[in-house]
Amino acid sequence: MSVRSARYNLLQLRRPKSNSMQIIELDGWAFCARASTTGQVGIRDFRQQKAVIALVRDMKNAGVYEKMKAVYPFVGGTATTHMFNLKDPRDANAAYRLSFLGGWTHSDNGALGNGTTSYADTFLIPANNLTAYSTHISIYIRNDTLFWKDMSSFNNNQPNNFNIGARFGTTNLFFTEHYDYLNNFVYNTNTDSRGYFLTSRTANNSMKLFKNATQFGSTVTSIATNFANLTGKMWIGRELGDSRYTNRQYAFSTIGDGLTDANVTALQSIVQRFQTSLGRQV
Amino acid sequence: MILSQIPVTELVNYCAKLTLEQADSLRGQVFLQDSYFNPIQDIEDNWIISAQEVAYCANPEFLWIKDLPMIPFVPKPAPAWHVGEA
Repeated sequence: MSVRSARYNLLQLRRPKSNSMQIIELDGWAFCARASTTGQVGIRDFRQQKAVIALVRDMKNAGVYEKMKAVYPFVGGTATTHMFNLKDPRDANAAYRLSFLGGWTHSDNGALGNGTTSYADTFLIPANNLTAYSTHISIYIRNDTLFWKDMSSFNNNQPNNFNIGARFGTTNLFFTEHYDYLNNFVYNTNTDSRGYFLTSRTANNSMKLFKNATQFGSTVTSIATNFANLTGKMWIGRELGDSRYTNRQYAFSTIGDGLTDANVTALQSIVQRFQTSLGRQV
Repeated sequence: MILSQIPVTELVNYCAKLTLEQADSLRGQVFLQDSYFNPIQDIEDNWIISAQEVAYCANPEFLWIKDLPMIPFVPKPAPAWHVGEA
């Protein structure tokens, strides 16, 4: 099936639509078509195509799509389909296309790290590619394990950290260090690493940590000053200089501008609906 | 012991031992479409790749890794969380 004929078939199935609806669908379709390095349609399964198109529609309707720099739906079951950024589905580092290193197992349920050598590089550098003091990262995890930092930007220069970890160590630590670990962190507890984990900063003095849209810990109001120091690339499943590699299965992740509480609540519903439509919700 | 002699359920506990030259030759190379080798060092400073990288490798240039000796995986200890922390 060529990209052109598949696109035509899909649009025929979904007519008639308003112009704005067609644009939304084309964004979703562009991802499905381009999530490929062979010139053929990347995501061919109709249910997965519908889920991606609905994801784009719902995120746009909720006003969160434009706040995203990178959206990784982890759809299609292969490294090739999992690596593309929904917002910019080009096979290029500049498009924040993931690079999978080490032993990942890719399936329709997402990307599962082996806990030995696996991580992914987004090529996104917060200080260069995000908006100062308006930032978020999020990740949807399908298995319950102990691990360390699920997403991390670190430049080997403490205390400049931007990370999130769902469940770590004997204390079941659920944490974020959102720009630095001295004054801009939340350390809380969580006994199950399954769910949707998100940290959002909407100002230099307002940062929060969420699981499934429920805030954990207090809002951090310490004034952050070091956005320009966040020069490490954002990695999924590992931190620079660390010997720990992820053993978790990831099924959705985003990087972008800060999200309001209402945005977080909306995004939680959208992501859970997306996962449910794919039969992989937790 | 090579990969084919290890039960599937035990694969996560093993890794393939490399020479430094082999590690250098694999680093950044594709073992399966859009998946890249990531040689690391274990607690004994052996260069290793995971059993998954060996098992999934479909790159004709690197099929020799299927015959690499497999050893138990013992990771390096994790660094202190923050500088100065015990």
